[in-house]
Parts: sequence; structure tokens; C-alpha cells
Amino acid sequence: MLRLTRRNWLPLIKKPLPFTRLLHTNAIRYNTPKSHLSRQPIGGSQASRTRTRRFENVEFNAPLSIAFFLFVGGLSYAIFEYQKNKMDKEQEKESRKGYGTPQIGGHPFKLIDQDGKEFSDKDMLNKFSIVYFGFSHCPDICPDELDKLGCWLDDLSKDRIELQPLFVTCDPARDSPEVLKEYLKDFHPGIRGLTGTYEDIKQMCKQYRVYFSTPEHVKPGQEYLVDHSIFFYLMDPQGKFITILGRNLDELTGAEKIRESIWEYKRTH
Amino acid sequence: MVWIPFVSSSKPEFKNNREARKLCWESRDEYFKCLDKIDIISPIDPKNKSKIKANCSTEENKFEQNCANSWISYFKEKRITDYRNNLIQKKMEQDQLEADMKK
Repeated sequence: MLRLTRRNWLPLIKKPLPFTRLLHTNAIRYNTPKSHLSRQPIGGSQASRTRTRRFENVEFNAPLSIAFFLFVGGLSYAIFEYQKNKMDKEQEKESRKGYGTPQIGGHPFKLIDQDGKEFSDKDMLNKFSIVYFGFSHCPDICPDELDKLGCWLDDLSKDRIELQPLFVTCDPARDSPEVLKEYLKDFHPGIRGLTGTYEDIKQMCKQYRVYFSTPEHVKPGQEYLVDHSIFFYLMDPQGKFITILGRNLDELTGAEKIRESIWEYKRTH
Repeated sequence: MVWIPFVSSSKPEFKNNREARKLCWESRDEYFKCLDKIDIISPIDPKNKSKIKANCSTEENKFEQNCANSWISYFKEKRITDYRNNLIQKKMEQDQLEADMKK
């Protein structure tokens, strides 16, 4: 910062110097008898002539020097401002990524969707995805959240923002692809349900830092609920984490947050 | 769906779809409204059992009929935690109000 400013202001200090010297020499030269006859004033005492000449000289040069001063000053100010802006922008960019994004997602996984097709981390490339963890026997929160997700998707598609919505079950024991298929019929048609073995799901939840507690061995017919953390994860086209969306966001504010995050992502990448 | 309904033999299998959920939530709200009327917070507390039976038995039956078993206990417990959270919330707001008044 200091280095730049000094370099910018240097010409401002140096340049006006010869100008003042010029002013003086001119004033002196006019008083000497050696100067050209036509240049010598007619009439008036030596003293008064000197005074007027000197005055006239100052008057003649003042606007020029002021203009010069303003030009150099303005130029260095503009350069200074430009550099400052550039540095501010760099600093802002630095600060945004400086603290690092949390290590969420981005690791390989292999699950199956509601049609029994394989779905892996590679299927998250080249598109934005929004990932939600839940389970089909969820009493009240998941259905609400999935309805909200449907609203966001509709809202965003109006702005031509297409997201790949994923619903990952935390309850693989009961949520077979068929169950998921039946369950997701009630929600936005784009949502893809993912399930797998208990181990696969455990790994998936672990990489997304999702806490959940499903009993591993449940007797058939035994009823239970799965305790799990409730966040949406917005993921970038490289399968990396962008941001989370919590329950505090509603139909409008959630869509707004996704829109802003994606714009910001596109601006910086 | 791997769901063997012999455990809940007295009750038809809970079909987890939008209509069923809506029905369950509505009967839950009815039931809780009834509990509000008789000033009962905890539907689990055995002390309240007779009072609930006397005043809200139809609502309770409907609620238990329309919801999955795991949901019934979940909603009952949730009523208590919601009530507590609400109290804490109100107290915090009150404290904030008093702090603002002192300023």
C-alpha cells in the first residue's frame, strides 16, 4: 500500500519545481537591458515596470501551473483509487475463501436411487445439487422440508437455475428403493431418493457430517424413529460444498439464499 | 414395504402418504386443542390419565387411530418439549424487554 502511494505521488512533488524556477528566471530576464527591444515596456519607472512585469508573469503562469497541478493531482488520485479498489477486491476475495470451506461431501460414494439404479459421486458432477437427509417414516419435519424444497425448485427454475435434488435416507433398513419411490410420489417429481446398505449410508452421512441414529438390527414390524440432523446441503458442480440451509429459511428466503449462493459461485469461479 | 402389521393388530396399517399424514396431523391438533382446554400439558404423565380419559377420550382415540405408533409417542413428547421451549422463549423475551426498559 505504502509503496504504491509513494510511487504515485512522487511526480507531484518533483514536477512543479522547474515551473517555479522558470517563473523567476523570466521575471529577472525582463529586467535586464539585454532583452529584445520589442519586449521592453515603453514608459514608466524601472521599479514600477519590474512590479508589473513580475505581476504579469505570475498571472500568466498561475492558471497553467494550477491546471498542471490539478492534472497531476487528479491523475495520481485516480491511480491511487484504482489500485486501492483492486487491492480491496483482492482482499475481499481472499477473506471469503481464506478460512476454508468445511469438509462436507466431495468424497466418493455409491448408493442406489428409487429406481434401483446406481448413483455415485460422479452423478453430482457438472450440475448444482441440493442434498437432504431424512427418512420416509419421518413424522412431521421431513415432509415439511421436502414440500419447501419443491417450492424452491419451482421458484428457481423460473430463473433457469436447475438443481439436482437428492433425498438420502438415514433409514436404509426400511427405506428400500420401492418405499422411497412410493414416498417421493407426494413431493416434487425431480427429487431423487437414495438408499443403500447400512454401511454405505453411514459413510454417506459421515462425509456430510450428518448425525443420525438408526438401530442397525431392527425386528420386522418394529416401529422406530430416526433421529437425524436437518439441513439442506448446496453442492457445486464439482461435488463440493457451497452452503447449508437450515429450518429457519422459508419458501422464499431459502430460494433467495440458493440464488445468491449460485450467483456468487458463478462470479468467483 | 416390509411392514408386518401383527404388532399393531387392533389398528390398520399406517399408509405413509400425504392424505394419511394430513389426517394424522389434524387429529393430533384436535387432541392437543382438547388438552389445552383442560389445562394439561403432558399427555404422558400418568397423573393426567384419568382426566384425559374423562374429557378427551374421543379425540385421543382418533389421534391414536390415525397416526403410526412411533408418531404417537413422538408427538406426545414433542408437545412437552415445545411447551418448555415456548416458556424459555417467552422468558427470554420478557428479560429482553425489561433490560430495554431499564435503559
